[in-house]
Amino acid sequence: MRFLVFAALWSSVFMVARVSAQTAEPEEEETRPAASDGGKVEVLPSRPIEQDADQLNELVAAETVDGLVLVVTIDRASVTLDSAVPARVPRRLTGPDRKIAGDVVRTTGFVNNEEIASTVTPDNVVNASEGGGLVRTERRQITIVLAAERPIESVAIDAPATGAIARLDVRAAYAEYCKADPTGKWCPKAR
Amino acid sequence: MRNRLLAGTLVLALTGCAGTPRVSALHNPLYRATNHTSTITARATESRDGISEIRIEAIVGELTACISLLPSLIPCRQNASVSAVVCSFPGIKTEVNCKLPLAITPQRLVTYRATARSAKNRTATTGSVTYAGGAPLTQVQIDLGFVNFSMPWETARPVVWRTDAPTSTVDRGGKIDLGFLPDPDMPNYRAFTDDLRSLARPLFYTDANQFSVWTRTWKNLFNLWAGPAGADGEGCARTFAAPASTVRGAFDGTAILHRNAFRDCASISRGGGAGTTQTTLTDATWVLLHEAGHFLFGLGDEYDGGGNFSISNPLNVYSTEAACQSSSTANSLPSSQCAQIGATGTWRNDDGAATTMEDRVLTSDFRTLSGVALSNQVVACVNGACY
Repeated sequence: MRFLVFAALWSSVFMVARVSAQTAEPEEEETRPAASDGGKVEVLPSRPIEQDADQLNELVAAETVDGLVLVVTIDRASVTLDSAVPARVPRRLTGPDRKIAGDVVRTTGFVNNEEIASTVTPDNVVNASEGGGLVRTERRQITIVLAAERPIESVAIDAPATGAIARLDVRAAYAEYCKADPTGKWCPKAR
Repeated sequence: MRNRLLAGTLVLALTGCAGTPRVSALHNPLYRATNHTSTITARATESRDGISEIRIEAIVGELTACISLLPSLIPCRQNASVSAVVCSFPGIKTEVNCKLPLAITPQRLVTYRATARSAKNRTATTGSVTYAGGAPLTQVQIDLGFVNFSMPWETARPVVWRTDAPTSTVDRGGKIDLGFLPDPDMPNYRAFTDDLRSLARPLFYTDANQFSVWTRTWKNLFNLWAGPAGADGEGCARTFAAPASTVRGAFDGTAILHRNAFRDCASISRGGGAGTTQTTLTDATWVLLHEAGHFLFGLGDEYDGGGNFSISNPLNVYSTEAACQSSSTANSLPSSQCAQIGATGTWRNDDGAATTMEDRVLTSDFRTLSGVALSNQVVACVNGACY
């Protein structure tokens, strides 16, 4: 009940914005600044922004973390590593406590058998086919995002929906970094 | 009681805002991966005192993968500059607009917001929206200090990315990141971005049908992204090759847009699912929303012959009548409305009106238990964590 009232309150506040949002945007492309209703137009001189002062970069820095993007194919009980890419990844997608439901894939990252990262990802086994009913895709591809401040050497994948369990070596993901700097932070061999 | 509370709140909202301008802004086209002119249009209204000024400020710079040891899935910007236009009006009391066209060249990243000022000097400002345009980034230079190397890289391409600075109570977890990827049956990438615009603009901004009320009302909870090639959908079989497979790591849900006819299908997921939408259908926008009901919110089909299974909160499909009745009561809905879906042995709460997970009509919306599930989703997002 409480959430319905809460949502209703928000709905009422947003109603005004909704009305204006229904106004169709023009399809044509403008080439010069313009004002409707005979309004006057003043174009202000362009000014540069220092990179450090660009709030967008601050936002991205705050909301991303170092990590690893894994793409795996789970085919019934087998798991195949399709790709593993070190990247700055959205922080919020990396946690083991995400509010997802249904079948999940649990992934844990290891360095020398020490657990350094874990996450939970929806396992897209159950599908709704329009007019076709429920379809189980026991062969499916899952993209997994792990947060890790150092190179992950292996990952454990657990997909209970089809009984898939695997341990995958992902050190090759850092090959370019090792080639460029064998003693660098992002080269597992250096550890 | 609830109706009186709602009416009272609406009156308060309207009277409390008297004299304050209403302002909205949107860029057009939403996303195009080639050189083009992008026009930001701000619209403002203030019926009591009139609008005296609209100011559009746009920060335009080069899209990067962020300069650090590891490249980012979400883009940063460098070499940016601020462009602005000020449109002045003599206190006009009907809607006025102001347009700022921008020449979009390769790897552009634009952030804009608009401020409207009334004749009595009251102001209102839109939230910041960031979008990409021009040829995308395809390679990144990694600088390890004494040695550099380059490698192929793609970021997610923001279409409508809400980039207000996070506050202590609201962060990016309070958004639903909906990504779009092209199917190989798209004639080319331009066709994909055109189709994306044809779906996303009505669904979140311009449609006037009942089915899109929810997305238009809550559009500020969504970030929309485009991704590179690599996805392939055919029925319920979906594959993702690089770079799309990596980039979709930034999405809460992925819609593969296709033109060839096949039975659309979506995973029943919350936060990480995917589905397909045929863009050539006359009701493709409705189909996208229905599929998103599956892959973003875990809703099941409520029609006979569909995917009658749910993981939404609460479930909108139940395996027993008793479970449907119990959930209905718990969610302040008449348990007497629980009805079997055909002869499937699954149950839903049906108030007799057209609902988006059952009825393929533009007059549908999310009702009864699916409506509650979406209200819960809104609350979760407003509280800072959609998933």
